[in-house]
Amino acid sequence: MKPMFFGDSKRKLYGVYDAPTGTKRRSHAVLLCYPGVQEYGTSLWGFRRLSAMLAQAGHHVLRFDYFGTGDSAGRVEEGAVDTWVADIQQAALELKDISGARQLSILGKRLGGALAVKACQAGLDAKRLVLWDPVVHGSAYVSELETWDTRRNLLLLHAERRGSGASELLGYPFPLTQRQQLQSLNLVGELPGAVKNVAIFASEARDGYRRLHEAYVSAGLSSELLQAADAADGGQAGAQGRAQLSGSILADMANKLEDASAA
Amino acid sequence: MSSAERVLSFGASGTLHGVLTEPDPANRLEGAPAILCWNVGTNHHVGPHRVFVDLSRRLANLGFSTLRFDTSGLGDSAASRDDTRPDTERNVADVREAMQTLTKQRGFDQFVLVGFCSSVDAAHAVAVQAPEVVGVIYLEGYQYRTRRFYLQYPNRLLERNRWERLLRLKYPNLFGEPAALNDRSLDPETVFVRDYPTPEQLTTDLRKMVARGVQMLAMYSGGDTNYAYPEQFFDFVKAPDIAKNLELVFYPSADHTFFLVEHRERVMNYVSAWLHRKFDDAAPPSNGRRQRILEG
Repeated sequence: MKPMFFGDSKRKLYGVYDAPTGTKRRSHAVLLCYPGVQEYGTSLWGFRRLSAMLAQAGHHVLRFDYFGTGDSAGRVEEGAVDTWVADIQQAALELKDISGARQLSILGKRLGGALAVKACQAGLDAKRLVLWDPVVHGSAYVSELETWDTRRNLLLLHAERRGSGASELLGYPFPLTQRQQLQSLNLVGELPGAVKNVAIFASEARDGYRRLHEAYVSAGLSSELLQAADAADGGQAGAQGRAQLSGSILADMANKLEDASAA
Repeated sequence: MSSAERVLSFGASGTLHGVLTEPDPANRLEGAPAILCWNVGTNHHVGPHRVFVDLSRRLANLGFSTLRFDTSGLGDSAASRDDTRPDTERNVADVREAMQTLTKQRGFDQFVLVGFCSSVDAAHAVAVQAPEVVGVIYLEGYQYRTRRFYLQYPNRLLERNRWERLLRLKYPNLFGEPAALNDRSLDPETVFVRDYPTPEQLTTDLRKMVARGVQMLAMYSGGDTNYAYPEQFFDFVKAPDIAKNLELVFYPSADHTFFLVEHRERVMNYVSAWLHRKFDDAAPPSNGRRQRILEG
């Protein structure tokens, strides 16, 4: 693990690079895109494990914090969809630069999946895109987070704070502009630019995942919709509740990225 | 005001990692201690809801340097396979490594440790032993139920929030809430084990630190914790003499991790102001109050 700051000095991003550790050393890099800040804490351990597995298989891997999240510069309320998309592009450049890899694949979880699609749409090329429980419809995503927020507020005896429209969400500031940007996300109909190979891992059967997959197939992309091996891993539980992740889901994803580098 | 952040890697094989936030050189407090914070439970070094990032940047504006780091095996720090020590022992060693690194690389010879919930264990253990520790902040530190705690316990039945929690989570449909509100799998799990000292041992430890001149700040929240009234601390640490070096703050409406932004802001403001008062020679003298209740 090599933690580092990169990017513009006024808006430095924090990332952790894993160089290949196994006997194989590929010219293939994988960029891992975290979910949104509300689901960041419960995803870190899984991302660390996934990164180590990919490095062991010979890939160069970078996971990084979006602007206003984790150790990166900025405050949570300063984050915006456009800037997070630009952060993915920046991180991809950094990863290629430090690794010398010629090919790049991207894995994004939840909001990170949606942002990765947008980054590819904006010109970032990737050999394969792996979307892990991606946010397909932003309004449903915000509504889901609000349900968790209500539960958490009730549990912590802040009943008066529950409900939609609040200026914070799951312990973080949540300004109106951010809410509106997230609610307006709709991946169906948005193609990931030049990327031709997509794998969607779904922890539970959701109509949005199926529609996204069908839209990609209709557009001529090679798309797979895969049931995550251990449904208890992802979705709601994986995002908010569980600190532990079974290795099976991560292994499936690592294999999918392995396929990309071999293709 | 500007500050700079850089990755600091340390430990025997350089596998412990953290982020050092330093003030602008023109704004640096000469002779001030460095502030250290690390993982709360299994949380990453950014802290619950990123509180250590916000706190570090705020303290840099006051002239303090802060290192937030991951102990062995957590966050971005690796664990050595050969290290079979128990977590508590290893955490203490990691904190000491962090202090030694800041001494070697940045010339610091005094430190303030920030313990938050489970990280209080290592903060306390190091502070008792290490003479270079001049301050300790106990956020949601050791708490023991007292006779008065139990006497006050029935008052919880009169709190509207508790009834609302019970009914809304058990019968969400009756309140027009989604059924998922009753999904317990959404709740965080408690995955760490604490080694509490006895109240007598804690009292002995605190007296040792007072004798050394260590400054202490203890902040407690209300909610579902074992802390129920402002002066409970001195009902389990039966040593009023400790009060001359310990400032006690009770925040009854806050919860254990200061989930609400407004609550975290107040905690960070208080911590920053306390550090400023205690360790900035240019700061105005304290008003002498040793106990505070934060409202709202």
